[in-house]
Amino acid sequence: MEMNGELFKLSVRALKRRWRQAVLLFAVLSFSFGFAVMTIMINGSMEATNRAYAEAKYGRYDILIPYGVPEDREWLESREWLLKLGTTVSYGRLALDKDGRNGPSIGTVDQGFIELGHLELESGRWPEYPGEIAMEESKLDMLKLDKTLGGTVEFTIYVPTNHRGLYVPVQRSFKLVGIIREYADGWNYLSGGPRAASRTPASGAIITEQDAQSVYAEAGESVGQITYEENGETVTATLSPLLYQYHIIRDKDMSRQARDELQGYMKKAGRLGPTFNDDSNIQSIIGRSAEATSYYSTLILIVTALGVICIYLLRVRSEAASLARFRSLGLTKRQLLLMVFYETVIIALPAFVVGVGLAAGGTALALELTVYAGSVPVRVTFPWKKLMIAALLWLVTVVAVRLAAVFVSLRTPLTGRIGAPGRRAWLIRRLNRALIWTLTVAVCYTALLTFSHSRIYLYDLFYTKEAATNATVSPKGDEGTVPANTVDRLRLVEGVKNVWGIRYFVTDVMGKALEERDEYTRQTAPVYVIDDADLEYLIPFDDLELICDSFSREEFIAGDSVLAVSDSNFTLSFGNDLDFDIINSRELLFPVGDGVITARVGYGGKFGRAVYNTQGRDIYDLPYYDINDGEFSGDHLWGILCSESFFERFLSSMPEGQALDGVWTAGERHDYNKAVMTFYPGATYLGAAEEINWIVDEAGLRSNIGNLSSAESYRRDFNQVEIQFLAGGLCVMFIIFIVIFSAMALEAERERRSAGIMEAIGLSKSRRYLKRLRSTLKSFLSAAAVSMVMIIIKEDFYRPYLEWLEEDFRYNGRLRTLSERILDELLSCAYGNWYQYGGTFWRFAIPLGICFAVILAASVFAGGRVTRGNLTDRLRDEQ
Amino acid sequence: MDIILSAKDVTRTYKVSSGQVEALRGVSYDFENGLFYAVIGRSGSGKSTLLHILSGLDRPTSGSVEVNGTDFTRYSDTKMAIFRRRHMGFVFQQYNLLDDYNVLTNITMPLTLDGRRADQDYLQEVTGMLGLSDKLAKYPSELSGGEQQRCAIARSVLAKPHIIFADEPTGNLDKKVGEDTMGLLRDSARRFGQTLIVVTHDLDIARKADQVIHIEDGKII
Repeated sequence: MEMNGELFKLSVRALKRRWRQAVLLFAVLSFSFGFAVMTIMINGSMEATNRAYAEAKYGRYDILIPYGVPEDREWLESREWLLKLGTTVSYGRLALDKDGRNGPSIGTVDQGFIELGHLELESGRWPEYPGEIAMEESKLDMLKLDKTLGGTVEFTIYVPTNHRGLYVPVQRSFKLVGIIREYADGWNYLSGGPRAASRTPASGAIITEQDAQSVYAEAGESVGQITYEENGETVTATLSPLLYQYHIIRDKDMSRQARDELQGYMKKAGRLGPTFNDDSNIQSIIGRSAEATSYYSTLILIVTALGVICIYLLRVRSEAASLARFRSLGLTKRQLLLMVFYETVIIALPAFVVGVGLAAGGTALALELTVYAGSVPVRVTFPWKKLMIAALLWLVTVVAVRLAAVFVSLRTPLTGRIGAPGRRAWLIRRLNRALIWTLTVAVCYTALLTFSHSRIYLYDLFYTKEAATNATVSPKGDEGTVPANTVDRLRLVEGVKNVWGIRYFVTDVMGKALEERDEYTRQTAPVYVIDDADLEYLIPFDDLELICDSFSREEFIAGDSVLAVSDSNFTLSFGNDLDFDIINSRELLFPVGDGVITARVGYGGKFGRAVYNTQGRDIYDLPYYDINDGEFSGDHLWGILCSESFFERFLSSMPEGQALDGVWTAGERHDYNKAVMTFYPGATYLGAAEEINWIVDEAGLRSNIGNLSSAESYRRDFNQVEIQFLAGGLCVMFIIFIVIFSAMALEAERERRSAGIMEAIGLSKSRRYLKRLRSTLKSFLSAAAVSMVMIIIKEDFYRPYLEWLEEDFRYNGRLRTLSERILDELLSCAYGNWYQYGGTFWRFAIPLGICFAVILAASVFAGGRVTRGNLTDRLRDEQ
Repeated sequence: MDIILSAKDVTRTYKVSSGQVEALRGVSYDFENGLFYAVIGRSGSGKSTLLHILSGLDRPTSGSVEVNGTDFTRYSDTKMAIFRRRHMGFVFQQYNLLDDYNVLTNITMPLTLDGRRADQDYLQEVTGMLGLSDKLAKYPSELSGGEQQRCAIARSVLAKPHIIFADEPTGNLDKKVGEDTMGLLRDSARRFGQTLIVVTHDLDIARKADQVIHIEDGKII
């Protein structure tokens, strides 16, 4: 025991003597471990935050039975896994869309549902007595009803029958006692399972059960008079069964049992299965986020191992020699291992503690700075199990590498000048250089990957963080437009960064035109008209012109060009090669001519927008949002982006009465008679929201400040994944830079003697520097080239070129244009997958430039160490 | 006199790229307790190899080496290490001091590794005799060659080993310092009754030895 104490003291003394190296190693170990833990922590924290966010935003139930029956309740209440149960019953629709479907519903909710925390009152109270009603503001708007609490609202309730599209109208009036906070998006969220669930209408109006039964009873009396034709026969309609929905919170420990029992129960009843939150899109985001962090956690651990190997390998000669000297003095193998163990633990344990501290602080800071989670505070979790596994792996790596030194020392002859034999020393030197080169490839690759995947900029991050102040400002009802000066006033609000104006002429006309083609029977067509003044916001840079080779901004502004945006995948077709899209445009009477641009962009897929995310702005933000909202209807949408003057011409050429009938905005049907102007102000601080509200109220407009659209939540979640990519990538880069710096510095120490000899026989310092820089440059260029090839292969960047090749052969029978295209591509880097991931020339030049600058700095620093001190000292250097 | 160390038909063969080199060819020799032996011979004659085998730093290809009648060539690494630190001291031509420790730690290292503490009187006596009393806190890199070699000598004698091996201990020193160093080593060994086996090229040193072993082509002649 006493002996162990002595060995421990010796280890401490040795480390004190080599304190610079010890500190360096400590830094590498603590940073690397810290970053690995941080990546793991971000993963856990993101997951917890996302879950909390999902709960807050979409309700805390985690199972939905969308088409329930009253008997279900008794069965559910007898389940041991049931923690909470909320029930909603839909009795009818408040309005119908053109297909007689999908209108918001009216119904009842029980106390359990309210307690789930999903449904909240904006003002007033819940209906308690017959004749009372609470409604969403948007539903009141939609029905053009007075929103005064205590006032009377009168409307028709459409009670569904067993025949699709056939309803029994029941006229009712209620006393408005409460305004419900809008929550319809929550129902969408739960649509991860069967598609049918997403069609489940949300109750935008809540009445008492007594009233609801009365409505149903009255409808039941009338339904017998309604008939319809089926297979040539006249059939009397009957009422549809009431639509019960059960919202369940289960005991998480009994998840499997709950799932099995529920599925068995529903199957036995021959009904649609339950929908589990586990299947929802948030899970896929969490999944992708986990994938990102696992990827980087693994990468960090590998890089750490490489770094530790690299540093110890550089020291292995001197360390092995030192250990061999100990052996010559009678140190046993056990004592040798113990000493190495002590030296490792003395550095690794504090590094572990500091690493965990760094990780905790770094995670909290990174999440605080970058994550927006609405009203939910960002959760910072501490995943102990994963942490322990990472620590174990990390320690094993460190100890394993240190054992290499012991292994070498045991094979070092104890005779003469003790040290690694020449051949082994040469091998170690070569291995070390190979390791540094490999790390250079790794850092270049990581930089390219990180920067190419992270379409996120600080601007975007902070913009997203303040997304709560985003607002949609639109007219109340379908009358009038936003007064022009409102826009200017909004722009003057301190903190408002931009106000994007969109005039909606969203019409059925395209749908009708397309209905003539069988395959497009359900398509509707929003048309976005961009104010000429807003072009700078929407097309702030020239990227579009790079994409669309015949696009002319001047023509666009003058109204001679159209940019049509359609659904389907996000392959761009451009130029005058107008096939699929332009046919429809012609049907719409667009005066198509030279300079018309068409493009096809994916909807609903977050990656689709990447094509248009340039310089920190999404030029298709608005179409993107609305396309997503539009998806609610389950239809495909077509968007056309054009200049205002063009649209005026377009309108004048439209047949009378076709243009402005039947409008879809924000997933709801509005019967606008004329165009409305909607603005999207984005403010930088929350206080601006109040001022925006004030201006909006004064102008007699409607705004939905603070109501994040589903697109914004996509954006938030998307950003979180991006943050993980960015954080992970930067962590890996940082560690590699430290390792390369350390490795080069240590290598320089070893070179001192040989460099001194070279200097003594006539090699000047400046030539030595030049030689060193040349070799660094060569090594970097080869590493950068390898990393570029790797990234091109990984991201399939070469695919467009192959497509060009194929096109050239198919259409031209030669490769004449290919070289021109490649040249153009090289100059602009504006096409293909690289571009889709936000790639531009600078997107790869900047990361590689940073890598080169750091490696060059490391090389210069190391060069300084080689020639530091006077020549005679260096010649005497033991290294 | 007692035989303390005995080499019996020791051979040592090295493999090199061009084949095999026989560094020792059946060397047998008995070393008596308390005497000063000088091993001389040309470069490459095998004298250092013999010293390394006698001291347990290297193992013979065949043959045995006995200390007080015990063949230690078959000892395990651990047993050999313990045996070495208790019974043998070694002075290397390259000193082989531990750079990370000061002089005091260096010279007490064999004792420390053995879990013993240095006899303070003896430590003062040795360091005083070797002129290291005021250099105990210094590190090897701060010492001159002669001082480093004296430090190595102090390390070799402090544990009071039975045998001290020195491989050209004055090879890196000038004549005057070399003579002084050798004198110190010899006096120390004599005073504490230790057997001293020195490999040297220096015939002046050899002349002062009790016995001179001449090696030629791996054989004692």
